[in-house]
Amino acid sequence: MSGWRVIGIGSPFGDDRVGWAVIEQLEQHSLPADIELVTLDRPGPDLINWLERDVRTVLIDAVQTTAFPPGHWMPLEIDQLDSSEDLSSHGFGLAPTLKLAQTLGGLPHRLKLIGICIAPGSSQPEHSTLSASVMTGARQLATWLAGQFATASDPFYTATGNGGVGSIGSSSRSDCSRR
Amino acid sequence: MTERRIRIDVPALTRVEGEGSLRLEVVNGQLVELGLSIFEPPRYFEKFLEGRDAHEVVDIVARICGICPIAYQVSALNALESLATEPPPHWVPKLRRLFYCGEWLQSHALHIHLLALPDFLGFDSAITMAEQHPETVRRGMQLQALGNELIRLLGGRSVHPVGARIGGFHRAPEPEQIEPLLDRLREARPLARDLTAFCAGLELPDDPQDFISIALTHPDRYAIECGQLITSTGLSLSAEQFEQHFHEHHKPDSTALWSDLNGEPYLTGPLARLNLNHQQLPPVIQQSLTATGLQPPSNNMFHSLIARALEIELVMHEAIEILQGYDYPAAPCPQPELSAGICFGMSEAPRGLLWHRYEVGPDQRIKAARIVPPTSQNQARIEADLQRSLIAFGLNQDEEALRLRAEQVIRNYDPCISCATHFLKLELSRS
Repeated sequence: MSGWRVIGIGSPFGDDRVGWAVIEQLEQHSLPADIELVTLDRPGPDLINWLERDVRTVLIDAVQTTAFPPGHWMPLEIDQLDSSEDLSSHGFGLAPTLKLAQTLGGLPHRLKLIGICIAPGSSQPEHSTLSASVMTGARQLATWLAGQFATASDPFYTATGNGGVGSIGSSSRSDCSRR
Repeated sequence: MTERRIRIDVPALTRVEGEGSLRLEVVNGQLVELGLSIFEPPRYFEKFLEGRDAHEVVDIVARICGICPIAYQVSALNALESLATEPPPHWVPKLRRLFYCGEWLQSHALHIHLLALPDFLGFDSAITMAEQHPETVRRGMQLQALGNELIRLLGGRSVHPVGARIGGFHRAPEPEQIEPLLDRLREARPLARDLTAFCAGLELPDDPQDFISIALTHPDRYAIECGQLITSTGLSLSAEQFEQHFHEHHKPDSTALWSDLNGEPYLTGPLARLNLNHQQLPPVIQQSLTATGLQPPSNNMFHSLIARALEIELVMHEAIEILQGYDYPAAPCPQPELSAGICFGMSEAPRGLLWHRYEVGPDQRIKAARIVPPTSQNQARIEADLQRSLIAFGLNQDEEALRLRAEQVIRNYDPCISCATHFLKLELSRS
């Protein structure tokens, strides 16, 4: 089964880059033609523009937590995201973005959120590369996603792991591109 | 006699950018303290620029703000290109205006729909407002997305765009990029007209007050990317003359500098621009203005909302005009040498006047930089407005109503505290 939009959210800073890294890893796999890969620099209005009711979507972002080791990835539900973030013209976190999209009826019917754990403090501007453990997690997630997309059945019928911790979000300041 | 004291503390003002607070103390019905504090750490961009090559400035200053980077780029370019050996090619000024139109469109659309409208429609956030007004929020998102498309066209990306440089742009848009964007702009024009009528139909507070308006003006068009600085007090100034009349000073509880015009607070931004430049609006936008019933100059600060809506109509009109007349340039922009010297530049950011000054050495490196952003210029006006508005509103109102009105007054200026820190939490005491 195919026909998914995969969106990786990230920034140039250290392990926060992992959303982009998963997309880059996916580009190395032979994917069905109707898998669309997208990188975004931040949640917010631009993300809403990439969410469509009839386009099945996988959304990948870093999760800051100490409850799981860096690189561990897991499916999340919208109500597990940190909703304490505020809306401003500049700051527009993932949880309010998805809630706004949901209120507007624009949330994809099939939306899979996947968080990859990173350690607090590992996404500072001075960190130019991903840590080895987070890069390993990115590769494993990309391989698992590619395998799911290659199967004939619903790729996400059997979910792995169990989320519910930490805060998900990206702090970058660049932009989006379609791959 | 029993003293009645109320203290309101808004420790973190929402739906504004950056971090600041408001303290309000009312003793026996008298306002005894009103303090707007900006505690976001200073950002020291002027210092970062020292020693950098002048050609790097345009990309560094874009990082000051995620919502108005083009304003920072264009003010810097206006300054530095005045030291250039040759002016940019003739097509560049038009495309700089188009670039800027994108920024006004996305910034104003976001402010009106996500930040300001919940105040006027009685919601605490855009998310709760979207449940009852989904089409209103969708309109905001659509207009904002169009603004970002215009920015991408010239800047390569919508946040911290990288397309502009001294002498012009790194690349000109491909001809095939133009028509699809024109179609989307034409299709969205009715949305912009509806928005102006929608904003004019809101029950906005009627709170007339005296204030000085300042804005750039241009003989041929509604000033955006360049112009001469004029004031409602009759001054007409070049960028070089700015420091003779405008002064910045420190306040103990603010990491942003406060500005005054010869000792007086003043307004910069959409309402000031409309007040001073409404005659420069194209006829089709004049018709929209007339239909709102607003007769500039307006002394009601809440008319800023209508001014922003009209400016959205304006920039969509302008963008269509510029794109319709676009010809792919025959040659790339030359990269000019800069002579040593002191240079000045200014432009109208979505929130108001943005003034830059640079001292460039013979090695083309920046020896000194000074940047005066709009929010820091509006701080004294915001505090004067709060003082006036809260007394007019009634200091006997309950704390929640006072807090909400204070936040409305502040959000009405669309403050960007991060840009100014070089902003809000409310503390009210009353007895």
